[in-house]
Amino acid sequence: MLALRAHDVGKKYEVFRRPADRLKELLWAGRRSFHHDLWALKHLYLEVPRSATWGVIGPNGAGKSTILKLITGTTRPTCGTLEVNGSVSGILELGQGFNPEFSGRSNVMMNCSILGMSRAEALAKFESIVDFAELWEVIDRPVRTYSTGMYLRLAFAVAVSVDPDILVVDEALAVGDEYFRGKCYARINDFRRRGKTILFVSHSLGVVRNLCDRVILLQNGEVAAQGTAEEVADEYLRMVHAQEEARVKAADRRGAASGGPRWGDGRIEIREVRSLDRAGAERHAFAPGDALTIEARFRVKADVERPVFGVGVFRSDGTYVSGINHLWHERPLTVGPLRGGETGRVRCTIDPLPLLKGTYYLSYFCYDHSEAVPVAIDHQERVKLFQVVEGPVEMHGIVALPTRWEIEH
Amino acid sequence: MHPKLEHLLRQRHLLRDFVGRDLQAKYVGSTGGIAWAVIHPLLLLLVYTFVFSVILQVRFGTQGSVTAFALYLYCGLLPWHAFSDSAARSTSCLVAHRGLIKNVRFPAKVLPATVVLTDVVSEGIGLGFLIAAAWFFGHAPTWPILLLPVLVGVQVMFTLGIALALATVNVYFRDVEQFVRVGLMVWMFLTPIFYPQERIPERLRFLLDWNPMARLVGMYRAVLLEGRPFALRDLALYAGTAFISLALGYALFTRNHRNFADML
Repeated sequence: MLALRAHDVGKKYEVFRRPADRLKELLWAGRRSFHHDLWALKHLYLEVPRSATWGVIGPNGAGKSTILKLITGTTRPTCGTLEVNGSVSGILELGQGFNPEFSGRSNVMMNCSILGMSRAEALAKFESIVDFAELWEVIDRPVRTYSTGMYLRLAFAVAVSVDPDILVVDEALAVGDEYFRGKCYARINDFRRRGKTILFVSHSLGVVRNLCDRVILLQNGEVAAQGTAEEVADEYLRMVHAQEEARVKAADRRGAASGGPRWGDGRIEIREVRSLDRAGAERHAFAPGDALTIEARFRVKADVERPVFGVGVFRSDGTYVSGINHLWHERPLTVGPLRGGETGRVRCTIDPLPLLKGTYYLSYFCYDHSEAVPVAIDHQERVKLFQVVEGPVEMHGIVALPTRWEIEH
Repeated sequence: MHPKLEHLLRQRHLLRDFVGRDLQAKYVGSTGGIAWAVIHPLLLLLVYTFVFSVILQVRFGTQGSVTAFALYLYCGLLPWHAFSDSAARSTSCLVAHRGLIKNVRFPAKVLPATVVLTDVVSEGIGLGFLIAAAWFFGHAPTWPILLLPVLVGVQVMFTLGIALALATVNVYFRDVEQFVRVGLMVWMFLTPIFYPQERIPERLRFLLDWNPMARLVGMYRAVLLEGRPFALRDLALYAGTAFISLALGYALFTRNHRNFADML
């Protein structure tokens, strides 16, 4: 018995460049067109059996959320047939319909009503919802006094309190701290055990691998691959890598990284900081374990006795991950004196790259260490942006610590 | 239970919850609470009365006193505000709740309906106050007042139709909000709220015939202040307009509501 069946389903959006174009098209009454078509989803064939858990992954803009919206029924397919057997509940975006001025209690009741529960049902579920969110102390306070975490916990608790045959979840919604995230996944596992059909959209291969029987990989609105998580993993990682490379490259070229403060006496000028891969080609996206070479060119304007070049690595949220230079090293390297008019190049290779998924930026600097206290020559904050994409092995956190495990029993 | 019936029942529950919350948001949250339903129009009334009656010397009714003016004015403002507030707020109501419409399967028509019903409840509070005030100043309620629910009923029909239409159009063309704001202001001054309709020059009287709100205000005044039933012809014409408004608004809304999630 199938829970979901899609036969050549497509979803087209009409995109108007300016609102006025829509009016023009209306006035021309179909004799002229002022929009272009955007196919968010094309040629979708799906047969999801009952009690199965399927994952949908793909880079941003691949059509993942369009599938969810079609299945929950908030939007309709432009062509093709979509059969949905059973009641559907979707958790697409949390806290819709919450009013910050009202108490948690009132919002829970209202949200239940919006999700289609009767008052009696809502009252019956109220206790378990607040239990799940663990917000009994504040349930009668206005929601605007809640922290973001509390707010999302309450919204998630309401969303999963519906008991549908088919649950459609956007993984971005398993929210909050590790503890609550664990509870969210436990709830989803619980759905699975009770034989519900689950469709799970995710950005993370790791989560899909743990939860899903089968994975659909979308690209540009079409199914690029289908199979077990292992079968589509390589294709997915390649896709994400290419997408991130293009995105970060564009951002870097626009100068998203530059614009940080710069100071120093200017005796050496650092120019053109680049991130290179093992083959020496410029790259903006790296996977954990890759080799990352940071290359900078410099020009000496006035003599420097003992210059030291260094790099600061920061995560996009400002966390200072590491500060490295060639002097403070197990095998220190010294250079100098450098004479005015000279040019040169510095290469620093990090191999294997221990950073995990995220956006990072680099600061680059040169200090004169001939004095007791190093003097800034050229210090440039945020000169370079790069991205670390998800690797083939699931890992959490900022860095992959080198480990060795022993288990005795 | 029949699924269609279940759907309708669900909409009713939702509507009740939404209206309840809207009213709470309007009155319960503030310190003044429900008193604002009275204080706000009262202040407006004071200002308008001062400008139009004391300064501009506009007079209503046979007595021509300032209190008579205030009562007439209030009697006109109540249905007008219920209508114009609803029209203005319903225009943006779908956009304001876009998250809901895009992410939850949800009968969107509950939203404009909520706006209209909330404003009618506010009007009801004001009407109670008006009746008490009129009584105090010597206009004891007479039997035609029993016709008031009929007026409110057709007014809701009329307003709801316009609310549904404006809400729909604004999904496609967001400028509608601006037009509505200006349009409502013009419409307000073309409606004999601040002045008796006899003051309109003969050659412009046709404006009244084409203005359903003028007709409505006239009927309110007849029933509440003049102690006489309205002309059946007026009611028939207004109810006809209201029916057309509702039919067109509903048709427009239901023919487009499937696109809302994509357009917002």
